[in-house]
Amino acid sequence: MENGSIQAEKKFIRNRRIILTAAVLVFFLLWNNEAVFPKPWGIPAMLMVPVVISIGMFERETAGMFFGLFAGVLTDAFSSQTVCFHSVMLTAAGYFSGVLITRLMRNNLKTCLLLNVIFLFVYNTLFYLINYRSADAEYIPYAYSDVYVASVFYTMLFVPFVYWIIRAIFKKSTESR
Amino acid sequence: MNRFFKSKSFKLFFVVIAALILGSVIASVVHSGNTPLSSALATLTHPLQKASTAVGNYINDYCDNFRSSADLQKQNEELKQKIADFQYELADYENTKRTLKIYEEFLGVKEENPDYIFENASVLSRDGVDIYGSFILDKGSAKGIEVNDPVIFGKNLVGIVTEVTLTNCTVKTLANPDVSVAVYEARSNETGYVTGFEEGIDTTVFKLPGLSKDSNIASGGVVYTTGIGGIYPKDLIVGTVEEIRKSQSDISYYGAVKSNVDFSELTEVFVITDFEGQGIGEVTEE
Repeated sequence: MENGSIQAEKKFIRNRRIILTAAVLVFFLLWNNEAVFPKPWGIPAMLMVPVVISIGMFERETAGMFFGLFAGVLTDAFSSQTVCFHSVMLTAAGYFSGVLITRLMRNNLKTCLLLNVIFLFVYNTLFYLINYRSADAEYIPYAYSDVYVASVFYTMLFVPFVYWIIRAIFKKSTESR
Repeated sequence: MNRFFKSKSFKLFFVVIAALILGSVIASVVHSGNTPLSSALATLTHPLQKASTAVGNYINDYCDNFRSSADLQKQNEELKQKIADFQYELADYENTKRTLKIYEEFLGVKEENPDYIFENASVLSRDGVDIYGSFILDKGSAKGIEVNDPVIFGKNLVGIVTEVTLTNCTVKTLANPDVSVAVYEARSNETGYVTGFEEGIDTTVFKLPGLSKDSNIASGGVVYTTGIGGIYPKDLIVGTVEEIRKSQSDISYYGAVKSNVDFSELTEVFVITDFEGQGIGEVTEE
């Protein structure tokens, strides 16, 4: 009996993770499509960051880490600038958001916003330092403030929607159990 | 804290990050822009990415239908203005190209015949009554043009100046039966003269009369001026023999010579005001 319930639990978790994987894929495709996801004044939104953090918050560290890895590898696969940057950063985002929710924070929209704003600043700053700081072009010093800082605020607009969608998937699957 | 670092999940995290860094090092060593993992995932998700782009483009096109009419009107006006600008530039370009072609041809003539002195002139008007295509040029005796000066277009003979005022002159074309030019046919070297048909149906076709049955002149032969008479310089092109016809008035034959130039479309010509041998042997009407 107990063995059967463990099996059912495992199946339920697997199904939920398949849905979340599909959600990551859909978010990635939407984000990567300029016709659907606009870049106002050339400012990109780092949509995969709130997606991974939200999943990490609900799925906790280990699953969050693998979702981060999946999103990161996907992003790196279609990125012309970096080899592994997105993979490392998003894996870390998924892992640490899960750890913080398990040990330190509560799982709600406020903490999600806080985690996102901190992580987006770290993410964009490192990206800028790795890719642009060494380049000797005239506009480079302005790129950080005009693009990467602006990108943090632009991405923050989508954080509540992403959080609600991930929470809805999580809740729906919990209710069905 | 120590417990956290010793936890299973942290060790796993550490291994994953180490594997990723190792992957990036391998990618750097083999000069690849992607790790094997991302390459594999890129291949797997490529069809999805393509489909997503197609859907995105469709949505974008669909949204374009809802653009405001004011935007479209503004865009339309801008495009119309652009077309007008391009048409103006195109007309200017065609004009320049035509002028350049004319000057290139005249330059060629001038280089071949350094003794020629030219006067460039534009066609001022055409004689609407004259069936032989006479026209008036905007230059006259003030520019040194005199009666009997030959008029050319490129290397082609057009006609001769028949009247001159101070500021303009009248040109009778080769189609006029009053004008006759001593010529030779390049292939057979036979000589004769060219004049216009009395009926003047086609102003670009002239008559090369007096050919015998045994004449070697045939269609396709190019006819040049001989220079005899001192009115026309030697070796100007008169035209090409189109066909040999039988004369209706006697037993001789005549050639129909077609000019390379359509006189009705001329806008610019050159008048040869002086050349070596001009006036030698010229018969003046007393």
